[in-house]
Amino acid sequence: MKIKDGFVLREVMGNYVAVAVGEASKSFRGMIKLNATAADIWNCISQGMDEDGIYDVLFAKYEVDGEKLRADIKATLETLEVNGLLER
Amino acid sequence: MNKRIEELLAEDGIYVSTTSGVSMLPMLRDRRDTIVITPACERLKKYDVALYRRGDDYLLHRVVKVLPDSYIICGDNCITLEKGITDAQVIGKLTEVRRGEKTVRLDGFRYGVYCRYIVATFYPRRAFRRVKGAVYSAAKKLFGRKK
Repeated sequence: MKIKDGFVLREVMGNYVAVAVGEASKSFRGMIKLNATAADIWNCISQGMDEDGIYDVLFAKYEVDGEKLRADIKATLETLEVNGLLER
Repeated sequence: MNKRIEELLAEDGIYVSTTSGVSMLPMLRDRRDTIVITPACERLKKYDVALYRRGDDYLLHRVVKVLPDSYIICGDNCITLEKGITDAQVIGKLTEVRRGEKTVRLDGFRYGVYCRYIVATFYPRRAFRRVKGAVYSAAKKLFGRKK
């Protein structure tokens, strides 16, 4: 699982935004806003983590209900994939 | 999923993207630098970089002169002035630029010097480009290969 080449995460004025640069910007115009948790997930993926690795990092950071966290991670990964930002 | 920039600005108050083209070189590199646009809530000032519409196209160029009812706008790497751009055409203004991981401060001293240099040297640059173009054309006619 990896972020597609040409997509970068930017923190702008307190917002996290995924944008395309280089060749990727020819087919993807615009931006995808991410919340802080989704930005953490993005950073975990960028570091090469799998779903379990992401879960461990976020569980340690946010100390939330485990099942809900797994569902949120899954939903975020699906959103990234549907929007063409994630390769599995 | 590709919404119009106007819609994104209205919804989020911010638009982040990359630019395409060379008209704002050397400041904005084709598909490499990230731009941050915010809505233009008040009239633009000289040296602001405006995002505006011309037909179906979005353009991001610098205001070189503010007139009572319009603007004269020009890309940093262009030699043609765009006159008569009205506030109705302006969608937003550039508020931040990211070159890689580095943020370019648009209120910084160096950027201020850059803007003034670009605008002040417009006519010499245009003259130089025209002469260069004429020399190139003449050389091509004289020494160009004939079929």
